[in-house]
Amino acid sequence: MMPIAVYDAVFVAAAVTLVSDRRGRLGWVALVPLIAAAAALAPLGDHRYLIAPLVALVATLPPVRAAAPALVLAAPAYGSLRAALLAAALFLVTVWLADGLDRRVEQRGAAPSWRGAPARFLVLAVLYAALLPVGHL
Amino acid sequence: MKGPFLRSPQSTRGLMIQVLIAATPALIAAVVRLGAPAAAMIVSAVAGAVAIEALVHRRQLGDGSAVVSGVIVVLLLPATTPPWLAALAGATAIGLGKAPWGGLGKNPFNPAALARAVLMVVLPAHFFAPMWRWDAVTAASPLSKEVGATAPGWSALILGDVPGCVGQAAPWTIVLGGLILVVLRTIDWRVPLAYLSTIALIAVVLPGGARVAGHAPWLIGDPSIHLFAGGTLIAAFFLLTDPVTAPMSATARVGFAAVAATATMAIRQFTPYPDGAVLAVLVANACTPWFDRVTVERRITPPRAKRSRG
Repeated sequence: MMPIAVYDAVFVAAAVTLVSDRRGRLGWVALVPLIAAAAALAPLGDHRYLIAPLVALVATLPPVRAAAPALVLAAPAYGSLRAALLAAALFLVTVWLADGLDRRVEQRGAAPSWRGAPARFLVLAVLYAALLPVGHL
Repeated sequence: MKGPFLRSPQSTRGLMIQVLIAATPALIAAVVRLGAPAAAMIVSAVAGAVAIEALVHRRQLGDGSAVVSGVIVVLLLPATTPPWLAALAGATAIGLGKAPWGGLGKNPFNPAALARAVLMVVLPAHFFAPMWRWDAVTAASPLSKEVGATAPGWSALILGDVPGCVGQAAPWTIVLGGLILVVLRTIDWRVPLAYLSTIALIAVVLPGGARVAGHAPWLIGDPSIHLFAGGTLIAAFFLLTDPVTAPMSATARVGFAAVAATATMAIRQFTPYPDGAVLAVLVANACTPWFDRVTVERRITPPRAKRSRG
């Protein structure tokens, strides 16, 4: 099975966060890539098979509303702590930008059929395209 | 609805006509330089945009904004774009860039930039061809890093003797169009000034990333290529100045232009992408709600509302 790319995982996690409408523990969610990267670097020898379940367990420790995006962010293979830091920053920036745009779309009165989740997905799709060069850093 | 309301003597249709007049020199230069294919692209893009506008917002068809979106999106397309893709770009500008958000005046992203970015992700082969045909010669954009592009001189950059998008056929016509818009007060002069000066400043002071330093060292320290190649001028005069997607206050618009310039240069210096102007415009558009919140909304929100919100 091909692992999910870091850039894609960030946007899936952001989509889950935005659609759930219950923002909680965003700081914790952003910490998960760092935990996953640190765990991957840990000297576990023959017990490396423990990394994935342990990271998944840690990611789901916060309240359940933050578990889904945290698990998504735990999935990719982070090559370095720098990559994990970048993913964490990208996640926070994406959610922040999408939140601001979501409010703007609501204020300006988008078509009723587009309000809510459809508008948020479209905003995320545009941000995915606009921030794509970050995925190459 | 609650006030206050501001009235302007300029109608939407009048503004669109002014933008079309400003874009005309660049369109003529593209047709002269690239011939019938450029004319076919322009017609296709405008037809695609107008067709979707007629389907979705027939009442807004008369204001000319669909024609403007079609014209601007064609300026952003590579010179080798087939007519069907130009039509798709025009249709995407309206179908995704304007219609879903509620129509004219409600879109958070510039429709032309959005269409260019979305199609670049969906059909990358048409946008990342390393060699572009230009004046019957196949060559690489001077902003390319790994395809053997060479550094052009000032005159080649200003006259458009370098490969690029349709709007690059003659960059001086984009500057002419921009000056027309500034003189007519259609756009805020601070935006192109802040964007171009920040690009020049960053080009001088920013060290190139390994991708640039190892392959295209002329991209470091020389602002001329960054100012005249790629989509810089189109972004400065036609994309960032869109009043719907730019912040409301003049101060915020300067910051907004600086954000776009920083993003443009970061993409060019540190990623494999040859040109980041269009993507940088979308990033800046995404920051617009924040700029408005810290400049305008904070001033007009009554203190009691602020306290109860906190």
